[in-house]
Amino acid sequence: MPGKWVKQFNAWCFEIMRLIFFWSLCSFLCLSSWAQSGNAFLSPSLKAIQADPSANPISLWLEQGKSLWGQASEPSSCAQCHGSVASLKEAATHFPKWSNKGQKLINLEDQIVACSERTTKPYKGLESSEVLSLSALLHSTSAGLPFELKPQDAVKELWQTELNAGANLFTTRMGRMNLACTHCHDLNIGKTMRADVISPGHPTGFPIFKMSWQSMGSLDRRLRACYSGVQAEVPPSGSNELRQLELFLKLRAQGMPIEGPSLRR
Amino acid sequence: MSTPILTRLAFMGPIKAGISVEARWSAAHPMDSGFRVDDSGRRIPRNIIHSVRAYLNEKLIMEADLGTAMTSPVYLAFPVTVPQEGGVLKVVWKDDAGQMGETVQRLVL
Repeated sequence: MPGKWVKQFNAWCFEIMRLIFFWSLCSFLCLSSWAQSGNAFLSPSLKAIQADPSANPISLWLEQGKSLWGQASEPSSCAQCHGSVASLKEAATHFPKWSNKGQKLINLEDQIVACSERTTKPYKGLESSEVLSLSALLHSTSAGLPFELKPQDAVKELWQTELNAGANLFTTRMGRMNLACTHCHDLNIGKTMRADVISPGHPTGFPIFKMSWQSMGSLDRRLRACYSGVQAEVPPSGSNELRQLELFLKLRAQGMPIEGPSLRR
Repeated sequence: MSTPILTRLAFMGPIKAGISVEARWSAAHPMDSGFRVDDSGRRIPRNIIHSVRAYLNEKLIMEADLGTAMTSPVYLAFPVTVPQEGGVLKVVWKDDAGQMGETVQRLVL
């Protein structure tokens, strides 16, 4: 009789140990993939194109960015006010930030458009090639730095409200698919969705050259593509909810280095 | 007038006389195939780079007639044998809208 009890006890112990081992392995795998950037999910051939500037299409935008930045002697150039690009090394790390003038959150692309409107050569649209190439240039200059998002003391509460709204959006189900961001980008990282692998959705590699767009695009455009993916109503470019989501995503990726403009499938 | 098209030409491999290097040319052209529609449902007329010519020291070395299946940005890679005295590679392109352009890059020994 005692032999049977010992056997049963051993079986329970084994079962418990197996569960502990299984869950620790699972959580280890989840945590290790949690802080991965989108670049870790690229195919070997895309990684090879990304590493080679003569094959990487982003170099075209970077070169356009450099020529638009211009020299201090040129009128209506960025360099006229800002000096060299290196002096704005930290610019991309601070956006989105609260704009007292517009009383809303603005991101780097909004700032570039606002800047250009003060010159004689205003850029049209957030996704115009000029805005994207300057954004790509500034993001490549900030490569290696983490996001530094802090509100000014005077607008601390307003900023926090926007951040909360972004976090709320991240966890709110929407669209005909009835999915929230968190269902894919927290709970199903590493699994395949159609032919793609789901990444944690950290915005460290923006603006991106997406092969299916055959063009550069900003985080704004990429987020709208996600809305369309879950078959929700797509907000117009530059909407406040996209900025709130961007703020939340960048704080979610806190501590990860900016990687500059990147390739995506 | 349409916006200027950004192009880029680079060489891969060591540039030594008599040795073949790979020239890589790309252009950020929209390459509208003529099959797509805009947001209001109207057809976007075809506008692609339909002909590309490469000249090495003013001598034609490569001629390409491109079709609607080309990607945007256009990317072409072709071999170039470096002449004894070095030289200049010029890539001339033309699109359906009548826009033309050239990209020049020196082969420095």
